[in-house]
Amino acid sequence: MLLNMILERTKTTPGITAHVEDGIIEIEGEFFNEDAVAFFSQVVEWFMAFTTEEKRFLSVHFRLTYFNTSASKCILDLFDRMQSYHYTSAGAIEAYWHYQEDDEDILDQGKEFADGMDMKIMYLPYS
Amino acid sequence: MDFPNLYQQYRQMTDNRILMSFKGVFAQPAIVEMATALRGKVAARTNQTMVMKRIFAIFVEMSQNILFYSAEKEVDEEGKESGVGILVVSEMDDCYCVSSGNLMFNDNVARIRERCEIVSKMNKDQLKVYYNEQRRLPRQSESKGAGLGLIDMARKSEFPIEFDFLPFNDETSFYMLSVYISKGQENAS
Repeated sequence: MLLNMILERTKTTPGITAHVEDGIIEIEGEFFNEDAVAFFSQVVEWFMAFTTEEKRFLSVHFRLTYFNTSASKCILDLFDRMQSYHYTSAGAIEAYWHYQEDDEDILDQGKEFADGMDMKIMYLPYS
Repeated sequence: MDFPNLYQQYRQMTDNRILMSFKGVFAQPAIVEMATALRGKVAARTNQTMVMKRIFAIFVEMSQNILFYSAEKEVDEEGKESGVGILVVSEMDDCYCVSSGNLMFNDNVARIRERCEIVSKMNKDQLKVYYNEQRRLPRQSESKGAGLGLIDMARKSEFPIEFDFLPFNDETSFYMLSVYISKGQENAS
């Protein structure tokens, strides 16, 4: 059975909260660790388990203030998987891209991830 | 007395308004400490959040480039290998400059030079397209980085990247890269 996954935020990795019953993943903080693949593969594994075993509605919240280019490739991979889930289980996924209201770079990066995808994604500024 | 040019180095770094300078091993823990300190230092000088964030981002990309790709490596007591290089952050009248230098095997120079030339000539829209194309390519197996750093740094800057290569010895060249971040509209303080 799939379990909740909680990873505490560190200096170089975001906090992760993945909750089975609520169907929610939250990624909050910044990433400049040296091994993006190792870190994000944990999130991808949980995502794949949820979408194949639970097959329920899932909302994914990104609240990132910085991530390096290596992490950006991992996040794109996650977006691709979210878009695939949207295809196979129409409407079963929603993405929320939270950004600091004056951070145009993070907002633009969110839009570039979602470019060409038709799943529901909302951009939410916070102060 | 034998002070290794300390006065000259200090004088020169002061005159050149160096915010941070480091030559040595770019191990991840050192990068984290330096990047965090730099962020605080820039934040104390500007109320432009984006200026601070972009300098931080460029510093991290350059540091991790040295960590992964420098031809000069050092191994720590746990057997972990990290690259050696130099990184300098300086302040000018209307911008900040982040510069990195590291050794590169001569075999790689032509390829990296070509990539630098392409990136330095692109405008913002072209860089965006190029970045998103490159990000879709599979990771190169020998590298932990995504190879996107150069394009990302160019996108964060209002000016073309500057680069040069100087012969170092029979096997390697010294690769230098500078990225400038405009100070923008500072509020009077």
